[in-house]
Amino acid sequence: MGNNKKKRKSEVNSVGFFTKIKNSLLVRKYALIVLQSLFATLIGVCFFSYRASGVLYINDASAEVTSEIPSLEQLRGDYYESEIFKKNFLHATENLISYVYFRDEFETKGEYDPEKTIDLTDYISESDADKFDYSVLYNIADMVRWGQGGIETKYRTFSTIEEYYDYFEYGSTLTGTDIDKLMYASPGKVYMLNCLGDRYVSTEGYTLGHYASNEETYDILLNAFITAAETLYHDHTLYLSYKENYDTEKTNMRYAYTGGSGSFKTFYTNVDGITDKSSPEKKRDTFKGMGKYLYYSQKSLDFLNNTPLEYGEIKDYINSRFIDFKSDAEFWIALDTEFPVDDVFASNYRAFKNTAAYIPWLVLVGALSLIGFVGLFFGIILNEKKRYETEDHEKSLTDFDRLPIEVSLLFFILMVFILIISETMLVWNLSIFMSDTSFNLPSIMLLFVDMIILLSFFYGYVKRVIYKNFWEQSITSLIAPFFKRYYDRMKKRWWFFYDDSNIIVRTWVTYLLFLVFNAFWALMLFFSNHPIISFIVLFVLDMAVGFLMSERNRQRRDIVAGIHKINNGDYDYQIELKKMHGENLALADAVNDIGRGIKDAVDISIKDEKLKASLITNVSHDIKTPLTSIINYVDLLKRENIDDEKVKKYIAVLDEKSQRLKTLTFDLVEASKISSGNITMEFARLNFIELISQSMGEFEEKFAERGLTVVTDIPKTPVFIMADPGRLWRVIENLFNNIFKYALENTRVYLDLTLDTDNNVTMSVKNISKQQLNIPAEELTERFIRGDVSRSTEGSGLGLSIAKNLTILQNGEFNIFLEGDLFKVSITFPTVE
Amino acid sequence: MANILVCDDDHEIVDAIEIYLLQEGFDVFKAYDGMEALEILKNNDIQLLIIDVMMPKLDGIHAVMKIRETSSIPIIILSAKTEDSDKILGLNVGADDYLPKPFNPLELVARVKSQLRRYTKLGNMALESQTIYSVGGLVINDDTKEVTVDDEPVKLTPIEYNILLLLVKNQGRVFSIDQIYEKIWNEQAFGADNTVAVHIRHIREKIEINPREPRYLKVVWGVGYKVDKM
Repeated sequence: MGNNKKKRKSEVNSVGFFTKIKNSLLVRKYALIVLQSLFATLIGVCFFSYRASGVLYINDASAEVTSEIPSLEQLRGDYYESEIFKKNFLHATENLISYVYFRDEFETKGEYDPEKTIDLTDYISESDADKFDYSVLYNIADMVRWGQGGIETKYRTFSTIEEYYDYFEYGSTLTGTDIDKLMYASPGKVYMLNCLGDRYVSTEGYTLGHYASNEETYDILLNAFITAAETLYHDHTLYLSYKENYDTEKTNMRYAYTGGSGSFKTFYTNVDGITDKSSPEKKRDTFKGMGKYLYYSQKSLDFLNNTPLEYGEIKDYINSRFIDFKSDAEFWIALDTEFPVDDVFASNYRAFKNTAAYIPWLVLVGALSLIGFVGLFFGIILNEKKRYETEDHEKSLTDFDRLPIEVSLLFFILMVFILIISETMLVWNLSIFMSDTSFNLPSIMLLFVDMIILLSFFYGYVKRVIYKNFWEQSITSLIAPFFKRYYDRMKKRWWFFYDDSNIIVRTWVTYLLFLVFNAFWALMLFFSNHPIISFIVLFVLDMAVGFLMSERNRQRRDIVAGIHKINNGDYDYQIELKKMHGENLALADAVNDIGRGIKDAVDISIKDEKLKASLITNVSHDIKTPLTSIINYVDLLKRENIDDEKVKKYIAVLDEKSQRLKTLTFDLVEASKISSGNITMEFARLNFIELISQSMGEFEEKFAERGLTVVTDIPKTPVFIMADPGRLWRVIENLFNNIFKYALENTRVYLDLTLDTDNNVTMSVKNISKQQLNIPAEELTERFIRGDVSRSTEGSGLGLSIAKNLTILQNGEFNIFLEGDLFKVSITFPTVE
Repeated sequence: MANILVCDDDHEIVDAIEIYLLQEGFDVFKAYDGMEALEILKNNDIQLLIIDVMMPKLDGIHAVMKIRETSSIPIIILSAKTEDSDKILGLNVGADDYLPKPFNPLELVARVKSQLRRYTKLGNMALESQTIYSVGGLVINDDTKEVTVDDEPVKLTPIEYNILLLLVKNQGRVFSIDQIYEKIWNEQAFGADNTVAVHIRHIREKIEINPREPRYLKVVWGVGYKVDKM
């Protein structure tokens, strides 16, 4: 209680500040947005920082620079111990070894020498080399040029043996037999040989044929020539690239290579002040002083190294190259860690130092910021939703929220556009990480401000979604009716042909349009430059049409199923309209209407029948009481000793008619009850044959009285059916009574019981009618119908009607056949096991 | 003789019934509604009540319920309501018999006699022996081959007697035509023969008051015949 009082007091106090609180809510909301923007900016900074460690390059001396985002593993600890450094250093080492080799290949005395020659026999495999005891010299520059353009060969035709002989300068080795084989084995034919073009001449100015003695040696030389040209061209490309990239001005990598001795001695370096004359000590001090170094000597197999590289990692590469080197080769390789040149090592070092070291922190801050961002995201949205549910909508919608959506969107797009431009300028041109050294503060500030604006807009749209006023606050909603009217008018004008024409015309118009469209895109498929577009259009179009057709047919199927159901008596069934469209919807609706109509009609008729039945029952009650008195007093009269024959006769008539009235009332009530379905059947399994025998026992005397002989044809074995025993007896009783009443006296009555192949059992009774039957068979089962004149005789005229209806209620069939005076009734039931 | 109360709102019916009962030597009391019937029952020694259902003041069903609170005299309901459900209701509230209107006066008299005999003889029915079988008012003495219904002797042929005996001995059990034939004639039955059915009908005509609505020998349509335990 006390607590409550306090609370109320504080509420009262706060009323005065209500407006302020209201305002502060808005302030608080924007504070949250600012906070969220801060998180977003932090996420951006962390993300880009992490990305920026991808500024770490894998060096490729062919001047292509590949960047990759290194794994966290690679970004740990000291740069010189990192995987990135190791990779780059190994790469540079391999390139330098290759470079030295290429210099040997293309240079004379440290300078590129285009006059240098190569001997083709150097490119011949070991096994073939002994075939050539002479040199085949070509100019290196020529070879590189030819290798670049691709080697051209063509078939040379020899029409005479002399010509062939002339072509190979060393043709003396060709024996007469060979020539015979060549030229005369297929006389009259021209001999052809794949030859190198004539423009590929050696330093001596000869074509390749000059150095060959026959076809075999020619082929060997030709292959060697092609290999040499291609290899030299490839090597030359790399040589040029390395020459440029490992120039002192371009790289922090330093090298010094010494190989050979005496006049063959070669010395290559890119370090000023080191010459082939320099002492080994000087070389060592210089290279070791640079920072990271590697030394290898082929002579002493010394391997000095202060990088993370293992000897094993470069051994194979050294070996593969050093086979070509002189055995006393040695080289120094070092990285100048002063970084006089801004190369890949320098930038990697900076990036590593500035960002990679902070990676764990970046990940942590980034993750926390992301959590904060997502949390605020949902928090603000949920809060907005809560306000929607609890607060007055008019008050919580600000002017900003009431801005037409188009205007707002325009603003938004403009903001995004400005953002993209400014960010591109700041972030991507200047980079957040200006030249790998520090963050670019202006771009971060821009990101932050942009985030605030973007988020404000975003929550504005969220609010519109929550308040569901997207449409009503739009300009489109204002002008839409005008367009709609215009559209309707145009539709009326242009579509009347389509709408007014019949369904067949409409189908054909649609189909032909589809065909034309399809044909157009099919042609495009074959003739346009972008067959894939045609294919997609065709595929989507044809699939859509196929889907529409199958959908239409499915709806048709459902409608047909519905019609069947209604047709089969399920008048409550309604086709589901949700999945129907267009004409099918109208059709299904109409079918449902018909179903409802039938159901109403059936309901009314059942109700009427029931009303009739209860009316008849009530009336019959009222008849029965006076009838009881009549019967009783007639009986009493009969007991009086009356001598007057006339009076006796009158009494007899009274007796008979009162009894008939009694039967009539009973049958009337029963018939009306049966036809109104006002009775319940109690089904049981019973032996039809037993029941017929029992019934015949009941009627034995009655039939005998009229001189009727029953001739039966009934199987001996039991036949079981499901029926209401008492009511089936009633059916048989009525049929037998009918025979008793209307069969011609002293005739035979035939009673057959037959089983058919569908496991149905049919009982049929045939008799000769006493009177001529002048009405159709069907009418005999109508209530109160009897063979015409018989109305004056006993019976209610309801017997057959009752029998028929009871049979049908027991799932049986009831049929009457009339042929002349032959009267036949058959009842059929399905048998059960 | 016994005092019988007839209660019906239709005076002529009451009078007619009175005539028949007087002819049989019963004393008749007359009432024209349920309240009146209760009054007469209270003040007189009545042995049997014949009562209509639809009556003013107090209808037959409620009257029977009231009577059954204090008395166990036989009650026969007479009614123009002939539905099965009406009959079941009447018998369930305590009536002993239910006769639909219009009725055969002789049948009513027969039923009255039957009910009275059962009511008065109920005490000394204990002369059971191995050779005497009984169901309700039906008694078969197998020694003398005599059959009585409500003490009235019934004449049956030997075959009819044997069939009835078979059914009474096995009360509640249903026998098909073939089974009865095989038991009585000791011959293989060949089905589709209505001899047994005819005999049954004859028995019913002899032992039942209304053979169309038998009390003892009942037809189980499509299965056979039986005598129910009572």
